[in-house]
Amino acid sequence: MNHSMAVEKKYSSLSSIRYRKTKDRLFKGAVMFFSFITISMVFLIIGTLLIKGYRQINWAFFTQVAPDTFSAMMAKSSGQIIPGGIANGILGSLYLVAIASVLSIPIGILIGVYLSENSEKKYAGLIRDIADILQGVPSIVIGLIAYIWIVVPVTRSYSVLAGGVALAIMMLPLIVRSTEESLKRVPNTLKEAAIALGTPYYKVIWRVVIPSAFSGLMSGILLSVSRVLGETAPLMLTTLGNPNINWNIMKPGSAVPLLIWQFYNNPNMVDLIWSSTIFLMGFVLLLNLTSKWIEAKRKK
Amino acid sequence: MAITKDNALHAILVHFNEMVKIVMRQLDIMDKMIIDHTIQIPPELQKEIKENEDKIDEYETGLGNEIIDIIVLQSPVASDIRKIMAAYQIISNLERIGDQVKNIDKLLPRIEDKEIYEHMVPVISSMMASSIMMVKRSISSFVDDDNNAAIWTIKNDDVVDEINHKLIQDTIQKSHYPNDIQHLLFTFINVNSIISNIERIADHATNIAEASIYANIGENLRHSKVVFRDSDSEPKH
Amino acid sequence: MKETEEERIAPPVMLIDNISISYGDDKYAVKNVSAKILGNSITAIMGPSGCGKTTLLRAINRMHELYPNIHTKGKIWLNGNNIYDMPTINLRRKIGMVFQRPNPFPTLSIFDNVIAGYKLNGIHLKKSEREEIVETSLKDVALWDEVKDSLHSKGNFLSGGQQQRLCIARTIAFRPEVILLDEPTSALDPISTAKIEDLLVGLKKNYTIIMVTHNMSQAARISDKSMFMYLGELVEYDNTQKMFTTPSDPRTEAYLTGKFG
Repeated sequence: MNHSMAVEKKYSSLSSIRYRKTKDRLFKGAVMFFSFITISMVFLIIGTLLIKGYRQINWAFFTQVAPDTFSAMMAKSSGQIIPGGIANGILGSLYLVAIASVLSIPIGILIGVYLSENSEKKYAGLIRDIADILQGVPSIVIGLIAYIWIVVPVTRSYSVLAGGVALAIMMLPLIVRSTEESLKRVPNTLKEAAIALGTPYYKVIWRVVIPSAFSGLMSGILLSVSRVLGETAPLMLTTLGNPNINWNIMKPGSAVPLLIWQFYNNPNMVDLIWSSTIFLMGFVLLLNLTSKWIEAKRKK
Repeated sequence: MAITKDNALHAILVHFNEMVKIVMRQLDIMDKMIIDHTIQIPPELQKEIKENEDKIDEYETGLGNEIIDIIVLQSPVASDIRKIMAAYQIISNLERIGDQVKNIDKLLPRIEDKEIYEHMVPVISSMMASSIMMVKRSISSFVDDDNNAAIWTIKNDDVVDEINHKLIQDTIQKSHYPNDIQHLLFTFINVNSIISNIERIADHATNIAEASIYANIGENLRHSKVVFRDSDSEPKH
Repeated sequence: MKETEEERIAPPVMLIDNISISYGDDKYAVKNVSAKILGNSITAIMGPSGCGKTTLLRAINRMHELYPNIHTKGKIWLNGNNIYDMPTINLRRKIGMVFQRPNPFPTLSIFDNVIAGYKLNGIHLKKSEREEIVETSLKDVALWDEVKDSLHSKGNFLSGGQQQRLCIARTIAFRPEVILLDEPTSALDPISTAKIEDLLVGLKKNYTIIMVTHNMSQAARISDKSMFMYLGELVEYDNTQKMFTTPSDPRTEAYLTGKFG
């Protein structure tokens, strides 16, 4: 009696072990399979872009402006690479980001400072909620706002300024949040040390807290820049686009995503989109890696 | 490290050596008086003996306080605490030596038969000499960490007791006094020893009471006058 | 045989005059504390957690005003001037503070940390003045030999004890009159603690030192006078030697013998 029960137990426990081992292996296999698919997806995308676009990447790519339709058509029909480049887009994007940074970074940092210093107050909670809402607003709506505020009354035309303002509004919530988080991580003891030395309050923030939180602030700024570099919809309503390199803030300007859109719509210039996309993605990747590197350096 | 502890230890040792010097001076004064057969003590010497006695008492109380302070405040351990506790005991012994000198000082003028005294002087002065030698060596064994001197002193105590006993016997027996006087002398010497031991029991009881007052209210009452304390008044002294 | 403490120590430098500190409506952290602080001495403030000793200490350089809803009554006099009438910036140059956890500025070099007080306040010094102040201050805290070859690197290699000495150097670089210390060695190992205690004993020649400590042996070891606080009140304030052998108040007695803590 006892013996058969023991044998039964042995077998059922054995099979349950086998069952569990199999489940384990199946699960592992599934995880690896899906990760593989995801990774290969990324490789596929990058691979496609590179294959399709590598020929268009040359010195001229960076230095010359986008070609006009005619020369593009000529080149395409003769099977040559399209002449010209996206210099106007690159410079235009950088110009826009510069304007957006000048507008959003000081304001964002100041708001971030306020939030981290007064985080208990109800008003602070309100500001945080507004920042979160702002972050969720669709980019095209922000473009519309910039249109109404800048394009119509201020510059009376599509302009780089309007594009910069739109991007600034998009960068703001990110900078505010990352500033607040970084400043909060600065230990209170540092502020106390500075205060005990008789430092006036604003100097404590400016010369002790912010420098200590510098890497956090920097990486937050880089991340928000990398986010807005790829925005297209708001730019379509504000800076519109420009075939030439334009430094006049009141006039329309170009940007890389805008060019990609233009290339897409023009059958002769379609080939340029791959190289432009590679550029854009590469730049964004570079910014992200830099930001991660700064974070890593800080942690040591 | 531990500057305050080192300073406090140093101060204790300095004061300890000062106290030793005064006690040795008292012993030397007494020694000389005995050798000179002095019974009437000249006034300047008397004054010095009294002043030294007061200083010895001061040192005992003061050093006692210093030692308590260093234990309370600096928590010495290991060789530090051993040295300090040994010093604490030695100090009270030194004070008692001072007391013995004071007592001898009081007793000398009371001698009525100068002749008998002068007959005993050789014994007394040799006993004094060996006692002073023992005190010197034992103190130096403490100050100089000399274990051999300490062991010598301990062993010498019994030897000296033997010798002294023998010396007293010889001196009395070899004197020209008749036998019944000798018998009387021996008897009185023994009876007197018993009496002083009993006195010392009472002294010890007093010391115990003073220590208990210290435990209760933190005042060190040795060498001072006590007033009975009612419930509403402070003890005055 | 011993000269009195009062003869050895300079006359009173600070007078705490009936200070009461409350937050909220009726919660008193410190109640009616008055005391004379003698110059060139070490005064220890001890007591169980929550007795108000840290609040009292911070009231002396008015850093307690950083807590929300603080109300202060009473005055504190520093050499005849009421510190509550002084601008805090001037006050904190005369009264420096060292904290429980060493807090050198991580983005500044050791050199810059020592003169941080001057830099942060925009006080310009000639190069020679700066170097002299740094060297003197680091020598005063016995740190000069250990760091003189790496003055311009950031002090990440410094141990906890060295960092705390750097913070003390930073404080004395200002040549304050009073140095406040808030449990300065509770985050340190015993050897660093002993070194800092010796340092403080040496510093009292030139400064008046007030120290909060939860370690009564530390108060016993190095302070000249001690304050015992309980539930916001100053229970006893006396020479350390007297307080530790014959305390006057039964609450002090209970605390010292470990009946509560």
